[in-house]
Amino acid sequence: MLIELTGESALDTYKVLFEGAFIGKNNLSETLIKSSILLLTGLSYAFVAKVGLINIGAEGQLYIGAACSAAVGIYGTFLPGALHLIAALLAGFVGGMIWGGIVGFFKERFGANEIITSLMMNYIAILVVSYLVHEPMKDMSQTYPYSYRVATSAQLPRILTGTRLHAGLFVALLCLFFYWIYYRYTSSGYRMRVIGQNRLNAEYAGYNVRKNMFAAMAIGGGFAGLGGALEILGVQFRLFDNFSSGYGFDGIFAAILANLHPLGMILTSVVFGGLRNGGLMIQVKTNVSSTLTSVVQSLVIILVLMRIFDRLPIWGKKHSNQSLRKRSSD
Amino acid sequence: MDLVLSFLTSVIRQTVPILYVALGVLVIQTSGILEMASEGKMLLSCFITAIVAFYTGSAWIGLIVGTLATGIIGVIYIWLIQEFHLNQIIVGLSFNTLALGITSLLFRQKYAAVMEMNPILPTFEFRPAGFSIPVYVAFLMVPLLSLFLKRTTPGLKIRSVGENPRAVESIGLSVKRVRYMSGFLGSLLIGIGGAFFVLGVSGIFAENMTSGRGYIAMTAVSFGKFTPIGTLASVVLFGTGDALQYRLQAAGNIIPHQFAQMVPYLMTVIALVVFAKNPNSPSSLGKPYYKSR
Repeated sequence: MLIELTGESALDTYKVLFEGAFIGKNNLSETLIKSSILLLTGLSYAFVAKVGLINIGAEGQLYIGAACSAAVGIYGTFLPGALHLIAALLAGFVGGMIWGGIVGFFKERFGANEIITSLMMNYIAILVVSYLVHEPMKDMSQTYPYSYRVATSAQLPRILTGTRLHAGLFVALLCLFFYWIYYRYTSSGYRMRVIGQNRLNAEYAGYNVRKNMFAAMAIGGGFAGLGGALEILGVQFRLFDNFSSGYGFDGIFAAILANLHPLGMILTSVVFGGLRNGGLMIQVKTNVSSTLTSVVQSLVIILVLMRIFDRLPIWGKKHSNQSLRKRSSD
Repeated sequence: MDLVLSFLTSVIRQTVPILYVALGVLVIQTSGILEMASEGKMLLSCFITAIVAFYTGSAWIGLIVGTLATGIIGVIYIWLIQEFHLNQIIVGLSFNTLALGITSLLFRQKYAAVMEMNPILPTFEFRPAGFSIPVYVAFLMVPLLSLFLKRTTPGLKIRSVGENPRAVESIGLSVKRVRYMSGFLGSLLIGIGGAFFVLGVSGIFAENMTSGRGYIAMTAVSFGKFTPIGTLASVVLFGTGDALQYRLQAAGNIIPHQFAQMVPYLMTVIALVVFAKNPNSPSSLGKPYYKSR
C-alpha cells in the first residue's frame, strides 16, 4: 500500500525484494553476511533479557566493538598470522563488553534505568566513532572520512569463492551455540534465568543478583561488539560514519520475534537479513527507497506483538488467552 | 552581554520543544502508561507539520494539523497498548522505528526533491519581545498543568489511575477511558513540541531530526520527579546542554564537534545515574492492566 503511494508497482517491488534477498548464490551469501551480524546483536539483547534486563544498546556496542577491532586490525600488524585476526575479533568483543558493562555498572551500582542509559550510549558511541574517523584514525589519502584499511592478516577469510561470504558466519553460530548451552545446561546460566524470572526468589536463594546483571550486560555487549567486528573485518575493512544503519535495532527485533529461542533467532535473523539485502536491491532496481524495509519490518513486529497471528486457526491453540494473561501479569 | 543574551535565547529555543514533549510524556506517564513512543510521535509531528506548513505557507495551520494528527496517533497507540496488552517498551521502540521509517520513506520519495528548492519553512511571524507565541504558551503550560493534575477532576482521575487502577475501577470509573484521555492530551502536547521544533527551531525537515529528543524528554520527566515544575527544571537543564552544544560547535576548533554533540546524551546518562532512586513514579507505570471480571 505504501509503495503504491510512491508510484511504483507493489507486486514488482516485493518480487525484487524477494529475489534480491534469497535467489542466487551472491544474493544469498550477502543475506547470510547480514544475518550473522543480526544474530549477534540479537544475542546481545537475548542474553541480557534472560536476566530480566532490557538492553537496547546493541547499536552502540556494535559501533564501539567495530572501532576496537578496526584499531587492532589496522595497528596490530606486528601480531603473526591468525593471531592477528583472533586479536581483532577479541578486541571487538572487549569493546562491546566495555560499552555494555558501563550500562551494567550504572544499573548495578546506582540503579540507573538500563533502557534509557543503553539508548543514550548508542548516540554517544556513534559520535565517538565519528570522531575517530574524522581525526585520529582518518586515512589521509581519502577525501571522505574513512579509517585506514584493516591489514589483510586481520581480515576474515572468505568461505565461498566469488562471494563476500566470510567466516564470521561461524563466529555468529558459535556464539549462538554458547548462548543455548549456557542457559540450558550450566548452573550459572540457570542462576541468571532464575534472576530474570523472579528477582525476589533469586535473592532469597542467595544469588548475587547485581553481579549477575552486570555480567550479563557485559557479555551481551560483547556479542554486539563482535557483530561490529564482523562488519569491519569481513565486509567493510574500513571504519566510517554510520556504517551500521540500524543493525543493532533490527537484531533486537529479530530476537524478540523469535521469543529469544536460539533456533527461532536463526530464522528471524535470516529473514531480517534478507529484508535488509532485498531492500538494497529495491533501491538499486526501482525508485523505492530502502527505508521501505524498516517500515515493513516494524509493522510486522507490531502485528506479531498484537498476536494477530495467534488468532489464525493454525496457531490459535498454542497460546490460549488464559496463559497469555498469566505471563503478562508476572 | 550580547553573548549572554544570545546564549539565553538559544537556551529558551532549545528548551521549548523538549518542554512540550516532556509535559506530554508526563501526562501520559501519570496515568500509568510507560511512554516510550514520544520520540516517534515527535518525529511524525515534525513531518506532518513540515508538509502542511510547506504547502499552505502558514506556520499556524501546520502547527494545528500536526498537533491534532499526533493526538489521534496517540489515541491509536493507547488503543494498541490497552486492547492487546503489549509490552510497552518493545512496542514503543518498534513504533519509533516505524515512525522513522515512514517519515524517511515518504520524505525521500515524495517531498525531498520539491522541498530542496525552497527548504526554509514558514515560521511564526508575530513575536512579542522576541519570542513567538508557542514559547510563552510552553512556560504557561507548566503551572496550568500543575493545577490540572492537582486540582481538577480529570487530573485527579489520571493520577489515581496511575497509582491504583483497581481502586478507580471499583468506584465505577473506566480505567481505559481515562487512559485514552490522558493519551490524547499528552500526545497533543508532544505534537506541539514536534511542530514547534520543526518550525520554530530548525526551520527545515531532515530525516531523523529529533535524534533522541523524545527519549531525553522522557528522562527529564523521571528526573523531574513526575511533577510539572520538576520537569521544567530538568528540561531547562537539558536545554542548556543542547544550547551549549550548538555554541561549542559554532566556536569551532576548541573541541571536536562530535564531543560537543555528546553533551545532551551525556547529561541524560549522568542525570539517570545521579538521581536513579526515584520513588515518585506512578505505581502502575508500565504494567498492563486487565479488567477484573
